[in-house]
Amino acid sequence: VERNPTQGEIDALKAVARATATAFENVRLINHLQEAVERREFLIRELDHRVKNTLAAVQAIARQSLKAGHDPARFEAAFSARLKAMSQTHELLALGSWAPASLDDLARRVLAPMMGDGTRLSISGPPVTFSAEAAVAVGIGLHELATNAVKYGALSQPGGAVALAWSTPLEGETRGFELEWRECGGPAPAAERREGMGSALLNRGLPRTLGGEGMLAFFPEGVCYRLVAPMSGRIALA
Amino acid sequence: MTRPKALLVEDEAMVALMMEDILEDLGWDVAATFSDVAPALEWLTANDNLDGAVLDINLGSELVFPVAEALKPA
Repeated sequence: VERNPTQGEIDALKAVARATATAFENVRLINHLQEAVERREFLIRELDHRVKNTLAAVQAIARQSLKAGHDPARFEAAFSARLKAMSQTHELLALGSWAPASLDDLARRVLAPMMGDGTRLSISGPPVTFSAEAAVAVGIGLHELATNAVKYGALSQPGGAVALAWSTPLEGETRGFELEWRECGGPAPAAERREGMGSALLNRGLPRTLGGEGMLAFFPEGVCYRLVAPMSGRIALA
Repeated sequence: MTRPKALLVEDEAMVALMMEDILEDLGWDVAATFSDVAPALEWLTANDNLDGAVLDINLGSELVFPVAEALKPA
């Protein structure tokens, strides 16, 4: 049986519709608030974890820098420079709420003091990201390579140059991430010095964290560092 | 006298290097260091002559507890 609704029925239906809409809206708002609260709690836990990790890493850097047995002034310089590299990495990670960080961004930040007009130090590679933990190690590793290049390597004299390049597997390829730091045009590297913090990190620490292999080599034409690692939770395509 | 052997599981590269250093200074040999659960478990199937282990609980995307379980005497 069809009939037109009465005005009273229409008003009642409108009231129900409004109430329902308000209820839906309230649920949406509450969910939204809940998500905001959960996100905040997650970030606080993540911050706690990162602060502890950072303090442990600072302790590690202090210990390794002290072990080099330099005089206090040199210790201070090396220690401060390493902390600065770490803080630049942290700045980048904090900007992204500790989500994986882009290698290109990381390299440009840490290597900025050595970039100059870009003719002596080139950086190139496809988009790739590192997890927060891995990014900290990569940041310090790049800092160690650059510092060494400025003090003793290709960036210590005019005409020297460094190329930092990396590649990621194409679709269907089984090879992993590959990175190369290659110096040329500098003085021939002196015979390998005893293992310092930089070479320990580059040869052992960093490759282990990434489940790959790393090798710092001293060729007559300059220092060369190669890192190969499988794509994983720590290295991902951007 | 032989030095006691330790296993180290730690995902933060700098911290892992320091822990190795500290353990060695304390008279231990670090038999192996890993940053993930799976390779540590695999290594443990072939190496059971450990005297101790230092395990970082939070390994980024996973927790270390399966390694601790595997270290329990049968």
